[in-house]
Amino acid sequence: MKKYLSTYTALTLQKHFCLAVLFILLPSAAFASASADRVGMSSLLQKGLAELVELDVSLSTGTSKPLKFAPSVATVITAKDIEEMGAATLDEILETVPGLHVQPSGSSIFTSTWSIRGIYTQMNPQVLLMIDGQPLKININGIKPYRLRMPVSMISRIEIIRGPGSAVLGADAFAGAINIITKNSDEIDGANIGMRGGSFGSYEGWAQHGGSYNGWNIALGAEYAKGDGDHDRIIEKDALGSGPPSLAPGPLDTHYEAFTANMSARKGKLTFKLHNSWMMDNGIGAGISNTLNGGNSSTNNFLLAGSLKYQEKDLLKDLDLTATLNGSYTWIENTFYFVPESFLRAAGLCPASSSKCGMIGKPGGAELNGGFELAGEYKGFTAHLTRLTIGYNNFDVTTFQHKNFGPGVPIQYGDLVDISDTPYVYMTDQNRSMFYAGIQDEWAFAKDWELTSGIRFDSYSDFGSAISPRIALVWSATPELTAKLMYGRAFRAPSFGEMHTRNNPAVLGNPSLQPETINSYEVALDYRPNRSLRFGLNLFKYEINGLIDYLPDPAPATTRTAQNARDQKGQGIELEAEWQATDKLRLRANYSYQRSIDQTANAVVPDVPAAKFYLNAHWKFMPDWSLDGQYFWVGSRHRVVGDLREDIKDYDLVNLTLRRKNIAKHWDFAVAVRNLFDEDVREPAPAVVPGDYPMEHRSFWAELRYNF
Amino acid sequence: MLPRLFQAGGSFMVLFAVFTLLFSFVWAGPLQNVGYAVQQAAQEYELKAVYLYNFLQFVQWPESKRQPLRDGSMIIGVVGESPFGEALNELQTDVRKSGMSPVRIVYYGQFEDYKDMSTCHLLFVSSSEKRNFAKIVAGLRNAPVLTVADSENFLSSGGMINLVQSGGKIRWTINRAAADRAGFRFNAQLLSMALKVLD
Repeated sequence: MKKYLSTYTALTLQKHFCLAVLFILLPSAAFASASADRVGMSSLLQKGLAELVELDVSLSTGTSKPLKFAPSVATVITAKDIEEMGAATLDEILETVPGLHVQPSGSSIFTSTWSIRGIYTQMNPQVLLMIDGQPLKININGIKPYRLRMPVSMISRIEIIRGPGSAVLGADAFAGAINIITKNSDEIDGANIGMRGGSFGSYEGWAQHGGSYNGWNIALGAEYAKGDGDHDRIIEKDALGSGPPSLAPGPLDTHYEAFTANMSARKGKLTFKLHNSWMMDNGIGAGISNTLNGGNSSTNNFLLAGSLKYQEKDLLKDLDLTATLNGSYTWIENTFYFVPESFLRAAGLCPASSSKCGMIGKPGGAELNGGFELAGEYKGFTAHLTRLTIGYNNFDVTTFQHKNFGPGVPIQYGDLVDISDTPYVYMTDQNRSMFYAGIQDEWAFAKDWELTSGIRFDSYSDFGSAISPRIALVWSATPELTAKLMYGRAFRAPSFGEMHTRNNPAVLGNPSLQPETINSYEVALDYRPNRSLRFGLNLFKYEINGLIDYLPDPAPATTRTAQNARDQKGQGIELEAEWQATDKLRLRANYSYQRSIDQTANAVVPDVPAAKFYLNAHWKFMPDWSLDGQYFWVGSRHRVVGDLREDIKDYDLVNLTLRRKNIAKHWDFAVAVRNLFDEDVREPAPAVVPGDYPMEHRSFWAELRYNF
Repeated sequence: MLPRLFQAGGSFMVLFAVFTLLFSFVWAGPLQNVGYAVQQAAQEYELKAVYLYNFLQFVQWPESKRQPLRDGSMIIGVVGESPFGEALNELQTDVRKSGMSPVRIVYYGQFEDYKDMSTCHLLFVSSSEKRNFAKIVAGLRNAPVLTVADSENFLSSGGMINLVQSGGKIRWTINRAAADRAGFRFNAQLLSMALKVLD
């Protein structure tokens, strides 16, 4: 506790004071300005075009605000928001969400970890990432593709749901769920291309087309990105120390090459979607065991996900039916250099009989998943809207591996040997199937009151079943104020890797794992005193049982084994404000604070920020021109018990984006600077990297878009 | 237990049985339909109705060709199955109440060749007339009628404005070539805020 309080330095207090002032000032400005306003016909008529185009619309058909997500704490970020803030990747967008923090994982191939409300683990499988409703997941580890770099050109909007979503989405919507909705042919309507280039040898290009052929509405998009990464992200020490044989001090390897493509085809009641994320060649930061490797290690993973949906409106009176077939194919090959060659030479471990010397592992896998879902929505009951879902999925994993060390390899540290179908492979081939059935009912039981209740049953072939209920009460107290009270329970299935990894020098599986579960309680208030102002206040409290994490095995072992490591309790608050101050200036801010306790260690959950603040100003200072500023503050990140280093330094970060539309006929132009003040931003690293991971220094980019 | 049912084969039959059972439970209820709680956002067709009204204000009619009716009203016509529910009627009332320039609504019903729709100022073509888009537009070509729809192929069939859903909001695309042919001039704001303008 004391440790926790002591981090509230004068600086922190000052910032918190400023925030408090901001949140007090904004409402008073609101009361001073205008009277209450319902978004009904008469108030719509009072609005100018500029305001009308900003209105969220609740669609009478379509999926803009899917019923299934309705009562939850969600943030929706649209293509326009993304363009305005100048975000180039999904990670950049997510950092603007209250309670969500993006940081690299020291244990998961330097993949970004998205911690939500203090739920943070090394591999981060507690957040479900979906594209058009289909999970984007490597089932071996139950996580998103390694070093996923999701470009933004094809994104129509992103729905970020904080809090448990298993009652609707099943396993893994545990801390939250992120659903990316891609642009349809209408939104692209024609063709456009764009290119962006900037610091650290980064460049990317994209092309999109939307049109109609033989009654099929087709949307196509592809984006290619490549970059060297910031070579000045130097770590002074790695797991081998500093100086030979270690390659430290040296740079984190964050080079990347990624190809992403999307396709959708729609005709009448049929919709076909295909998504491809191909992380072709991506560095893995400090290396697989936090040992710099001179840029040899990399991940190459390919994911193809497709779905075919058939929608029948009014199949019977008041009954809509949706049938979906889905399938995905994933191919992964990682190349890990565990220690630099210099280390093996110094230790005299290089084989005399081979010219090659290294400690190399190339674990890989191919996954094939398929399933179907039937969902029915029935509006026939008075004041009820009922949704029923059933589905089935099958997951199949084939593993393969080349390696030049350990059991099964004749010449240690020499030539690579294929150990794919031997007892020495990191995991045997795996299969699991699951069945689910869920029901949800939305009941408008009184004027201004609505009760949503749902329950879902998931049954897995390999570890058992889970029941996930949820209930939400929504009260539209006044036209300006909505209050929500929510309870939900979610679970996360142990992944194949967590259960079955073996022969691995870094992490080991545990077949007796149980699913981790969370119970969460939330209160959400939404207040719109007038049409230019919005406030949100969310309070949450949760309890996790049996959170799965890799814990270090007793010395001298250097491995970590998956365990239902701990129970965790947390609570917190999120404040959001949006103010259209003038026609030309819009301000957005959010502040989030969480306090999560690892109940086993009886200590604050380490490495994740307790508090976070985001301020965004968007200024259209001349017709066709806009300037967007982002300010981030991330603070109060503690060390794990027993780690004697000082707490991780807080940081401030400022980004600017200047955009000019129609710079010439059909052309748009933008320039941006990231980390304007070149702040030394650090994200937590394990104790073997005592200086933590340095993040990107100041960088610039320029962008051109052409609309045909 | 359930997974074992699957492995035993006939799994699809089991699924469908479960599904049918669940639905028969639902059908047992009274078959009445009511509206659901209004969300904190505009209703789609209320907003679209207001857009139609705004378009009337943001478009310059070809000179001398088309004037409002004697009482100053402009006519919004709807051809095909109207998706607006009560929204357009409400628009008509609200506009009158608040002393804004009045509108009248004409529902033409299903498209037939003999129906003359050239008397309205703005014609909303429902998606139920998707097959007749080109015919409807061709039938109007010489009349100064602003054509609006919210369907994917409308502009390519010669329509002028198409309302589209973009990121949970409603925007529009414009076929300026078609509008030019009918002698319309669009206000700059309408053009600059369009998602796309076809020249």
